[in-house]
Amino acid sequence: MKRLFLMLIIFLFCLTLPGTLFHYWSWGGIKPDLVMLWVIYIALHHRPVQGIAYGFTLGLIEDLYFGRYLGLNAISLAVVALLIGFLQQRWYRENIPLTMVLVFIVSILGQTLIMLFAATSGLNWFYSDSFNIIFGISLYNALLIPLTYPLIHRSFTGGFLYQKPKFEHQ
Amino acid sequence: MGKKINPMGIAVLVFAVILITLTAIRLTGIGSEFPNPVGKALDRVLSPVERTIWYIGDGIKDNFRAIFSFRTVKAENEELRKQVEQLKGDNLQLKQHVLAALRYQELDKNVFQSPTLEKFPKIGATVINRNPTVWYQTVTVNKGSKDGVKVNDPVIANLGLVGKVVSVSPTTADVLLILDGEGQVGALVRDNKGKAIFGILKGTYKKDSRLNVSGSLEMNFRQEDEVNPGDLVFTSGFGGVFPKDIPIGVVTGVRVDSTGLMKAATIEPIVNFDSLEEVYLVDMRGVNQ
Repeated sequence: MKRLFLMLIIFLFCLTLPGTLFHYWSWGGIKPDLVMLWVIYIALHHRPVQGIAYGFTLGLIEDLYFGRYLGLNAISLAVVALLIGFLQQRWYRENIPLTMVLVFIVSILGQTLIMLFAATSGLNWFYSDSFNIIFGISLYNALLIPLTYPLIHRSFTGGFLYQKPKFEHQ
Repeated sequence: MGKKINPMGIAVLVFAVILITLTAIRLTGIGSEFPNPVGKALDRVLSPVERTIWYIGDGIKDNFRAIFSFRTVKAENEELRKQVEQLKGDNLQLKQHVLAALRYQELDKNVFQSPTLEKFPKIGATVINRNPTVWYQTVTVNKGSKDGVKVNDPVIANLGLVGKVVSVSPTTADVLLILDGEGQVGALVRDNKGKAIFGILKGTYKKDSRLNVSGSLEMNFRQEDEVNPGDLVFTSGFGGVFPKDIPIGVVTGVRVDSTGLMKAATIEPIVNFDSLEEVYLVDMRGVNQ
């Protein structure tokens, strides 16, 4: 319970910081997608189905917080978690440079998905800046890894965010 | 024993989820209203946090800049003083134009006085959050439904139009800026003889660059319409969302579009959206009565 509460608090900060703190640290107008980064961290440390459920739920809450285009982030973050679930078994997640590459690739796919879903749903859309935005957000997300990932990974593997297994291995 | 997986069942489920999501996205776009207790609760919980971070951030930004770049700040100060003098002159000129064109009584107080706008009560509000993503140009203000704010209420600053309210929680409201291509404004251009040409004004934020914070506005006209740089743009009052005669911006350029049939005018907004701190929400109750 304490673990879920802490995960929720971190998620709320991920919702709040891009519009406030990262307004000062935006890079040519680009801010990181912290909710996507948090879903990637969660998915990296959970089973694929759990990761997808977290991705969908947190995405849906994000959509409700924005109050528009309900489902846009929900489905995109669920797919991001699915991708992570697929890749994490083939990826060495202790290695920070490799994790940066993983986050960069998955963020590119996630942001592209958001753009495609938005476009197919009739959102007024122009493509001229899409590359810069998708690339910029993904790079910003990847650059935050050295600052945030070691702490989060340690916490997921033995700290406050550690999930005790339900059954002991024989 | 492992469970059997039914690939057809999974495919149907995935297809259904995608279909439902796409429908939901389409039905819940900007301006649509749907029950959102979770979003409103989140707004209520997070708005004090956002406000605090804003205050701290502004303080740090201002103080650190002054300490670490004293010389630059000093030079900048001198430069700004010169600019203030220049702008005072420009401002006076602009005031004269506006007054002459629209019979405004005063533009030098907190809010410009418009005969149309005077009919409606205004609620002062502070910007507590800016667009959390680069996909929309919105700001969040600290007044909500408890203060009488409603969806589609026009939002103005001391110099002109800012946008309209697109969602409301009890204590906060999201404002879609006119720079965002999602919103459109019925507008008119007044030339220096006071003649009005009507049209629809759109933000270029989606069209040109989402990365340009200031953004700009665009209006299309027929070839024969006489629109020149320097002409003032106001709301036309058509559409029922915005009151008539609110200043929007100044025409900075006119070009013929690619078809050769229409002219497109670039409009520089009067309001500086990047340093927007205080706004007024206009209560339009009774506008259509």
